[in-house]
Amino acid sequence: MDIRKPLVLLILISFFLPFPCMAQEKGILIPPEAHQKAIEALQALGQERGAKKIDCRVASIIGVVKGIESQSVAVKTAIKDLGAKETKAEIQIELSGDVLFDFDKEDIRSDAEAMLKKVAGIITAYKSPQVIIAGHTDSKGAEGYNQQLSKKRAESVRGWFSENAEIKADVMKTIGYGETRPIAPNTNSDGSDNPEGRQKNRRVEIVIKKK
Amino acid sequence: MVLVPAGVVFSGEVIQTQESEAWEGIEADLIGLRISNNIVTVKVKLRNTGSKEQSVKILYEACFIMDEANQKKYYPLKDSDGLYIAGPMSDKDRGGRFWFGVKSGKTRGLWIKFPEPTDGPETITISLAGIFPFEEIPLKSKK
Repeated sequence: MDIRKPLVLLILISFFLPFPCMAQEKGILIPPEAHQKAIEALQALGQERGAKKIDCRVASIIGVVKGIESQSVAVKTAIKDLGAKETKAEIQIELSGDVLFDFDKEDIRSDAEAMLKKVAGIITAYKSPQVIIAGHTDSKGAEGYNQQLSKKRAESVRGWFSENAEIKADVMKTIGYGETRPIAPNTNSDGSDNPEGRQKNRRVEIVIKKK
Repeated sequence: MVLVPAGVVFSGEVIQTQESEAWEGIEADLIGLRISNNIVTVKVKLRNTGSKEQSVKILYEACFIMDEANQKKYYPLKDSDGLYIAGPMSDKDRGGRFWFGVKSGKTRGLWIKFPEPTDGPETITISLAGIFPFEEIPLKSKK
């Protein structure tokens, strides 16, 4: 039996059928009977066509709600931009130490401020009751020195939030972990230096607790 | 022989785009607004510009068009079965709702029929739940 004919017919039929997936990608399919139903529905509504009166107060409330929604979008965008992890209880943000600070310094670099503003926006939006700022270094240098440097860097970040974003200092807790909590190997398996790993380890982690 | 699929497929230029406040990465393109027999047909294409699939739920009962000049708003028309004349519908809950997954990089369209505002405003605002409103959309009647 030649099965080619029914197969060709099937392909032709399927080409012209308005599959839902076609509607999803190519356009919007409105059933032909919808407009007639709409005409009948409109007639049933009478002269006013179901209009609901709104007043200026409602309009102003819409304005306020829109403002809140805009803020919500801005926060979501900031979370996305920062690559933050969000759970029900908190938001975790990891900032590169190389972006925040110059080598061996604890002063915030001016071009890191845009990033910190985004973090501050999230803290403010969530009215966070507690923010934990933890500094980390790589393994270069003395352990005690690294611990001190990481602590100073965490405090610099807290100071920036306090001075520039009006976030209360008492909700922010700082910790200096130094080189004790690496997230990547500081050296390769043969003992040689791993600059990429060390770069990842130089960081500040910020945990924003939600209410 | 020419075969034409049932119904009318709309597609066209984007009149206005708005972001969603509810679903990350979802943007809505208003791609059509037609008036016929005092009925406004609105067509919107949702695009997922994010990296994750989003489950988008829009209750048709929460959508409306607004004639700000005359301070009136109009909800979607309902058929004799109590369902909103809109689509696609995932189910008939609360008069029907759009509740579909939109995969990353993909789109989904929806349409709604509203009454044409009685006072003949030049523009309307179109409000879909979860999407920032399309504002100052010109009305061009084709009766």
